[in-house]
Amino acid sequence: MRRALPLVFLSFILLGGAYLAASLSLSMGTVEQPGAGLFPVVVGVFILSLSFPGLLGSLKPGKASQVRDSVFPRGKDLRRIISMVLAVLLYALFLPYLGYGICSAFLMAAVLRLLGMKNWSKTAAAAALTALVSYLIFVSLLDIPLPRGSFFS
Amino acid sequence: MDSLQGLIYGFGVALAGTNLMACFLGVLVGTIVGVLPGIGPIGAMALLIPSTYSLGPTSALIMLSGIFYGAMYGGSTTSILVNVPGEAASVVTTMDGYQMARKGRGGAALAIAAVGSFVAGTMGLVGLMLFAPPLASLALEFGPPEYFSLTLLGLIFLSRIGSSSALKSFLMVGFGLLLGTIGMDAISGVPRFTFGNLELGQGVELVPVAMGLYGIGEVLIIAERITGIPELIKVKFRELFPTSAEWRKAFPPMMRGAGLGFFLGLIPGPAAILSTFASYALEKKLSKHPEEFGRGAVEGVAGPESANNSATAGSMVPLLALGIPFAPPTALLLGALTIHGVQPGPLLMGKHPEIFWGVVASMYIGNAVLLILNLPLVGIFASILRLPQHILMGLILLLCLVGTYSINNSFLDIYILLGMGVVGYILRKLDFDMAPLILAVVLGPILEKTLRQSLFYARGDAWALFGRPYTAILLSIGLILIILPPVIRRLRRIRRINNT
Repeated sequence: MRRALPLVFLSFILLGGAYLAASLSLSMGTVEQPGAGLFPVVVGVFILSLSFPGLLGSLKPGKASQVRDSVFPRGKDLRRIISMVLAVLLYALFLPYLGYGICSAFLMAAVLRLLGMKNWSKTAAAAALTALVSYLIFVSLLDIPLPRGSFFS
Repeated sequence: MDSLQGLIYGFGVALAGTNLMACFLGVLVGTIVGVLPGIGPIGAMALLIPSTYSLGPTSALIMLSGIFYGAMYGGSTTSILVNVPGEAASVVTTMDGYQMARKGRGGAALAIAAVGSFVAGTMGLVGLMLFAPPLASLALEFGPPEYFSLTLLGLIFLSRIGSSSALKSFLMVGFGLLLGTIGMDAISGVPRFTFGNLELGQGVELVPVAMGLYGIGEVLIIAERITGIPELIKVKFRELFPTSAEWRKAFPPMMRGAGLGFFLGLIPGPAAILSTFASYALEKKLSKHPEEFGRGAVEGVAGPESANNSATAGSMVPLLALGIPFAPPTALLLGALTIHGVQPGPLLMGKHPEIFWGVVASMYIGNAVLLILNLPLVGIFASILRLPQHILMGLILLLCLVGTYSINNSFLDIYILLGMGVVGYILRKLDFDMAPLILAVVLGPILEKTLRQSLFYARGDAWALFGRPYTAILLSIGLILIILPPVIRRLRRIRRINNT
């Protein structure tokens, strides 16, 4: 994580470059009647024109930005963040198949454990209760159609 | 309809059953999210947009704006009692509010903050009523070139006065504009950057972007460190009465804060936050005892807490009169109105007086409700902080996921939410400001549409486009904002070198 800021600017260069290339394949139209590609081309050039100086600036030795990379967590704290992201990703992947209830109970259990709940039975009870109550509130009270899961239908 | 007639009509609208309930619910949720450090008004507004589908546009706007100004009240409670600001606009209040609480004057600080918020919020509404109608009349003369210039100026202004460097803020604008171009082109109907995905053809929704950046991003930041339940300073009801000396000290800063906040609300930027810092600096400068600031000065609570409430009323002016939001919360209000098929702008007052005057009147009612909620019931709201962090974060995460899914019943939106959450987490850690990004997502399509319309009407003649008086003035201001700061910085550097 030492070079997080240059990596971010590099990502914007890649994103801006790919976006500009895709924009150029759209119709530019004429000055009187601009096409769908004109504005994206301007935006792509704008992103690239900012990302390059940003990258060069962040690579200068002794830049405060490099020192500030220490703001990212390390070790156990970093693993917790990655696990949280993975838990949500798995939630999104399984939601169409297992439905809201089961996925939410598992997500809640994962979050509770990751954020410090030690007792397994308490975790399971809290996760199941949250999933059930939230399902009743969203579906019965607020009339929000939540996925039931193709596995069960 | 003049302002008084409009207000009377508005009270009729706002006091109707559903609207009154929406107002109460909005300010209640606003107070709660103001108290909770995990989720701010932007996240909460984004979260509740889907639940307004069953309501009419007036009730929806009443509820969502209630969250916006309600959060300004709730934020001060934890700043004073726990030294933890519930949201960014209450950071300044920790400096003197918490010190007052430590000296046993926590009740007085809470009362001054609540009364100041009420007075300034009400004064801000008077300003909104006075400013919005003439501005809307003026905007009737605006064509696409003026709207293009105004939108562009808004983005430049926000990037210049934001919390991060200009380069980073402008890059966020670029990223937001990029996201805004994904989907079907509104003019030609050509799909852009959709990779053949039909769902992406509808474009990137504002809600998953805002919830990802502010909701998921915030959960990840909080999840970095496992912390215990904060210690609360308890306040009894009878301690909620400031002394007459404290009232005398508080009154002038409240008035100054109200004026300053309102005018900062009119210009693009995070006005609610900026106004608190500006008010604090002003009060310190005007004080005969600046050394008391940071040690429990009444003025340090009264000024900023009044300023942030008045700024929320001020920031409603460009949205309701011009249809252009200058801050992320008003961008969400615009998004909500668009979902309900209402286009805010200069014609709103004429075409939908029930929305304009209903919202204004509901804000008067909401401010009064907030005063009641935040004084006698302050202990109840503060005790929300006793909820264990893991439960709270889990609930916020679930709310974000359900809120996002329920907009279009789309699984793709959940991936966008997660992606924006990770992006928001990384960028925020590296001091990128998220406000220009959110605003650019909303303003990007307006900017593109007005640019293309302007070029079409002008038949490609740039002078016909940029030579119009309002356009020339607005674009000149934008150009000055871009050029002047680096020039001043360079001149200062040269002077410093010459001096040494």
